[in-house]
Amino acid sequence: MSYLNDEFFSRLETLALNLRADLAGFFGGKHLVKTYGQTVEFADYREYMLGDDIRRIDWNLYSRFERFYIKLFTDERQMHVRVFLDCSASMGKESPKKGAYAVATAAALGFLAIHNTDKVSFKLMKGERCEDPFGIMFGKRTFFDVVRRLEGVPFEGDTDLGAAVTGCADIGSSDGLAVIISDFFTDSDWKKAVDYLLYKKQQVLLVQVLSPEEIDPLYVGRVHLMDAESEDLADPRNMRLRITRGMQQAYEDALKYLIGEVGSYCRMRGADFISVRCDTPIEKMLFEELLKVGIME
Amino acid sequence: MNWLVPLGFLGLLGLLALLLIYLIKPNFQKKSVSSTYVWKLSFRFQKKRNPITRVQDILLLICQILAIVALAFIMAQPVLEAFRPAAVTQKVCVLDGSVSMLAQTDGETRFERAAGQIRTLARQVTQEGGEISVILAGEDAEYVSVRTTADTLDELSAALEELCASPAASCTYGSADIDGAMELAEQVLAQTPLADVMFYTSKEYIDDGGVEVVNVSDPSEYNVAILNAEPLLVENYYTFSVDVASYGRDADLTVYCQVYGLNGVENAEELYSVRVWLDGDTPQNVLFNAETTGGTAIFAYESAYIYVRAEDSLGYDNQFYLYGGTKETVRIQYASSVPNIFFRAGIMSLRESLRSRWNIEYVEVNTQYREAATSGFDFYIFESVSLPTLPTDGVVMLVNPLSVPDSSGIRLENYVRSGNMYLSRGEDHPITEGVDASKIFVSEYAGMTLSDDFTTLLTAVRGEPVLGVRNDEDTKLVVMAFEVQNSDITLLLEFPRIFFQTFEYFFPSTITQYNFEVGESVSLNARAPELKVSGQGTQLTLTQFPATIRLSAYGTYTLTQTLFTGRDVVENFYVKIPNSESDFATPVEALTAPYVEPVPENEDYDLLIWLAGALVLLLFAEWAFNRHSI
Repeated sequence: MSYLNDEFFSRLETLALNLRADLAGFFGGKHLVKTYGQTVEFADYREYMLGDDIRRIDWNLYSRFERFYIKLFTDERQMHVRVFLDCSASMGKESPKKGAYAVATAAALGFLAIHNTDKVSFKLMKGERCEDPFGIMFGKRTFFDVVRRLEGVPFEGDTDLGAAVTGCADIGSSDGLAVIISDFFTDSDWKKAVDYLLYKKQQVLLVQVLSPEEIDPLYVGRVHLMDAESEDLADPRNMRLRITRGMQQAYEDALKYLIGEVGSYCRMRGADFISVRCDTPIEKMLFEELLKVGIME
Repeated sequence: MNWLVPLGFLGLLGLLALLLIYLIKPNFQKKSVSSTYVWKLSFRFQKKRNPITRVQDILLLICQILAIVALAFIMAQPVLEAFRPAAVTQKVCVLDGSVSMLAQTDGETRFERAAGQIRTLARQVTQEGGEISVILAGEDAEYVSVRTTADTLDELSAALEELCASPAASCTYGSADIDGAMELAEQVLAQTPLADVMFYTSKEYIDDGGVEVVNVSDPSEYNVAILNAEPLLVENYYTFSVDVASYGRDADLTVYCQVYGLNGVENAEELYSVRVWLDGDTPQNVLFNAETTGGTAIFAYESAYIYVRAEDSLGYDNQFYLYGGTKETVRIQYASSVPNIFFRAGIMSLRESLRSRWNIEYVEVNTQYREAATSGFDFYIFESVSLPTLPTDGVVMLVNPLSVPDSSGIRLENYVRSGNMYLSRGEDHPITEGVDASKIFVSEYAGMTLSDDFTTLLTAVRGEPVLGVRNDEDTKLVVMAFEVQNSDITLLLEFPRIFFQTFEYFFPSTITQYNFEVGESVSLNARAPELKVSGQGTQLTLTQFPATIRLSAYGTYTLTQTLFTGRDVVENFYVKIPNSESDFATPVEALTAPYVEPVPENEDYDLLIWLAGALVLLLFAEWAFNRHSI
């Protein structure tokens, strides 16, 4: 299943990522930052100091105050959007739609970055490693090539989010947005990943993708649950249980707890978090959920 | 419990199917999920399990098993059978012990015949494993045996043997207590409601009420009976009216009448006879009067023995005795210084009204001309006379006495009260019964004081006695403190009432009639302190009157009492067997059958509705457990 087509991307062209202004970024780009630069957009006045370019003195002010002031202009930077995609089996092995939805989300965010002349890199988290098979992308042509390849990414094995992110070679520092797309159904320390990215002064966005079956499991009775990430029947992740109404209620409570815990942790650390169902139209996710948390404008 | 369709239990095979389902059904269904992480996490949020949930699998299984069992039961159509007494033969035999059962043929009475049949029946019933109860309806009903079985048959046989040893002693001379016997039968039927009630009797019943009546009479039996006899006093001469009948056979019969003490001649006796043709079981009336006695008019007799000579089946009703033909004489003396018409009329009226019981002789003495007698009379009336001594051989009535002996218990005061006074009632007494004292006006009376032996019957204004009575063993005395001329009592009904009731009080009739039936009760009175009753095995001495005795045997009874004067008074009366017992021909209207609680039929209780309800409940419970286990 694929969400990625021309129509999808054409609708995204009206959007842009709203990143924090305290990011450093790189020269070029379209993101306004706190620092003053060489753009044509007026920002402030400052008293002339030795070494300043005299061509920037505002003579109108001098005629009025008989003091030298120079005009300051805003600066625009290029950001680097890093999308960390959880490629564990739980993301797509049993539910291809969930995997496709995760890929589409990654692609959408990547497209928004590319469209705003930002750099994009897709980090595929597999086990304790973080692969970067596509490198840093600048142009749309490269991006679309990568997206096509991205659709074929297999979801298998398990992932240690903390180890994968902290072990990633190209994290940068204060240069953009780091997006972790996962279901966060893991015993690994995902908080460590968040903390690490924040330590690197990245703007962090966590996107939790859940399938409808995970939100409302329909199976009842005596069930032998086979974990997609399990290696064999004896894997301790597999479990036998009798799913009762009480058990379903407990599952619902546990899921709420998990979502709430991720959300509250992110709020506490200044990161953004959204949890989406993969049967939610992706446009709705982009235009509502991301706008709601302010990462989109 | 019974099963209408036992094949329905094949439904229990469903249990095998259930077992098969449980065996085939996989215990755990494999289900691949993205991650079991949340499921593991959910254990922390799982609420404490209800204890029932731990056993709900078992409960679920139990419910399913029970539902299948209930379904099988429904298919088998269970019914609770209504109570049905045991199918063994049950008999309740009521043996008639009335006097008609003593009728005999060839030396065997009906009673013995019935007892023999019961004995035979008892043997048959007990051999079949049944039970038999025997009730004797004699003078009172009683059990001979209750629910006799083969084990106790000998006891019943012995009891019947004992009854037959003396049928006359076992039966009553009257009618049997059939109703009482049926009540006893009811008690047996309360335990064995399907028992047959058999009534061994000699009578036929138009409506047997469901009771099997076994008639033990023999076609050859017949009975000649003197049903009743009574003396008719016509123009002071007696005519003996005798009702006689022959039941079961026409008869040319001679009725005899032996009269003793004819016309007051001691030891005189005459035998009269009348021939009569009896047919159609119809009673005939025979009269013994001057026409049939050869011109002898009977104005008095001591007793009359009426009988027939017949070789019939029942001899107890072939004779009859008539008593009461000689009336006792009561002599009354009315002595007064000024005799008046009121006492005279009272005595005359008394004589006329009681002439059938008493021969009252009346003597009137005017004390102005001759002295009154103080002996030789049964009843003395002294009006306004002085009496130095009281008569001791009769009842004395003193009216306005001028002087009385001290032994009388009366003290005459020295004053006379006059004025317009109405009297008041004293103590309740038979003499003043029905007397309204407040209507009696007295203008003058003599003051007197009565001893404690007296009962004050009427009092004047100040409570002073004006009428008293003394009834000791040796003193019978009535005293009235005023002259009838000084009162309006003679114009009232109260005077003859007091006079008549005084006579009745002191001269009560021992019996009011001389013929009774067995089973009747007779009320006896006496003038003496004691009355001896003898006859037909009865020896009684009565001291409380009126006394009532029940007559249980036929024949002559003698009543003897010794008056306070020392004279013995002997009276007889005759008790006959009831006419209904003599009548062999007329069927009885209805037999009071014992009430039996109706045994409900076809009231087997269908359990389908209950089982269906149970099935619904079980299915609901199974659904609930199932739902809870999800």
